[in-house]
Amino acid sequence: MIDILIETVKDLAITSGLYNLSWQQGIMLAISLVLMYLAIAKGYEPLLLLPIAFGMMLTNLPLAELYHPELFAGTELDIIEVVKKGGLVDFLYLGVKLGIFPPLIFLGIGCMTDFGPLIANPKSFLLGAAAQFGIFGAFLGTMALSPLLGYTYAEAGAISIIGGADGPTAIFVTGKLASHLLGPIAIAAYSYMALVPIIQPPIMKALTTKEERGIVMGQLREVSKKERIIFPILVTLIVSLLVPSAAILVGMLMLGNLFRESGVVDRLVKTAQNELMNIITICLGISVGATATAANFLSPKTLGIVAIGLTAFAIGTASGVLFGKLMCKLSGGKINPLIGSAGVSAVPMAARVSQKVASDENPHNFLLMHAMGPNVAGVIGSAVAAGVLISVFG
Amino acid sequence: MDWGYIISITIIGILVVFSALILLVLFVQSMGLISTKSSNRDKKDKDAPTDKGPANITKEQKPTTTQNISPVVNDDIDSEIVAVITAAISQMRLKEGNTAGFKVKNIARASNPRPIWGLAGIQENTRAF
Repeated sequence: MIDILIETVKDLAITSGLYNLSWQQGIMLAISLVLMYLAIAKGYEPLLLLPIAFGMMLTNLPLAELYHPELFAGTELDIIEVVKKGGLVDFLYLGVKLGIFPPLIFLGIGCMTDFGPLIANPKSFLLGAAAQFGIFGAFLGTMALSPLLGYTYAEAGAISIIGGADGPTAIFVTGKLASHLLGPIAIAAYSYMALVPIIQPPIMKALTTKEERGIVMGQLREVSKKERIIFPILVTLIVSLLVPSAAILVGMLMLGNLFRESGVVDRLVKTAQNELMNIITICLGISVGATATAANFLSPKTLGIVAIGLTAFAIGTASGVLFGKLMCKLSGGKINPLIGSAGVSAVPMAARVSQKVASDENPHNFLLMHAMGPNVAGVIGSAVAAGVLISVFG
Repeated sequence: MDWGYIISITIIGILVVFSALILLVLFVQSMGLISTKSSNRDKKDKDAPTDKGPANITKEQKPTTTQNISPVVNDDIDSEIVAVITAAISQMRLKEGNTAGFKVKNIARASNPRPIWGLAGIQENTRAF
């Protein structure tokens, strides 16, 4: 009797998660707890970091087998196999793998974005383009590290998109080019986006003079409703005709914006920017977090991603500010170069940082709306860069 | 690893991003120009045929009033707004103990025309740091 009892307890212990917990899984659980702490206590991009961290915790629970990476390992996706063997997390992950969630997030972002400052000052597009040097600089950096860490071209393309400082774009490109790196890339992208107020100001101050930071820009002109309606259609057509692989990202962003500006589909706007966006955020967060298994995450490649991501942000900020300086010179001192750093996307945090650094110099200087132009231009710029990377390496 | 290929991808990528966004600059700028011109034309058309604005009213009122009315401030500014601004100035002067009469000769926008609510909104939005 006692033997049977002991045997049963032994069997139970052997099949328990605690017994089967590997040290790698232990580390991953600890990392997920740290990320949850950062999201809850420090407020680092909590809307995405919290579900990502929790997904990360779930996927690293021993024997739970919530996510099956082998179902998505090959170049061809076998949907029948996913239906037969997959569970909730696998099904949610299909939304990432097939590139469904990021464009839907972009639809919601489009509904919430005011492109007015960009329409009023179209030259801001150039600052949004300049900040994309971060992406291509990171691509060169990743390739330079390749002999050491073994990155492929596709992996380098996926890692470099962190420099765009745009979460959905980073997830979209990584899902297409190197889905096994989705966890580390998404976490690096969102962490650095949350750290924009810490990363950017020293670079901005180092590259500008006191006088440049103090430049007060003239008030933006009023933008008519007609312009606001034509803008999303125009952007979709031009970008999609030039870079078709960016069509879905830019198209959904602009569809959301057209919903907003047309003023005739308030119910759709409300749904896209609230309920739909929130549902997709939950699904996206959990599934991205779930890809961060110990085997995928605990590798030297992740360390490389963390380092390259930071470098990409720094290059993007610096190139934006330097281009802003050039535009300042060409405009006869009418443009404050600090708005250039907002070109790295990270809406609206990067624009707020421009405002903060400018107001440190002159409390009566309000750059926020001027910085919003390059900021939203950066979203379009990084979507174009993403399209280029997908069409070359996809 | 082929560095020639890597560098050419980088250059092509930057060129494509810049050319797409430069195209957008050109199109959006021309759209803005067309829109500004048409709105200016609409404004002119509106102003031209009838002349029943506040300036006209003040012209008609001038001879009937015995008080020394200040010169017309600006045709664009509604007479009610002129009255409100005048009342506010009068109230401020009274608070300061100044009871002497005054004339409003000109009303001009201050160099920083940001509305106080806009100012409050910006401060609210940038308070996080």
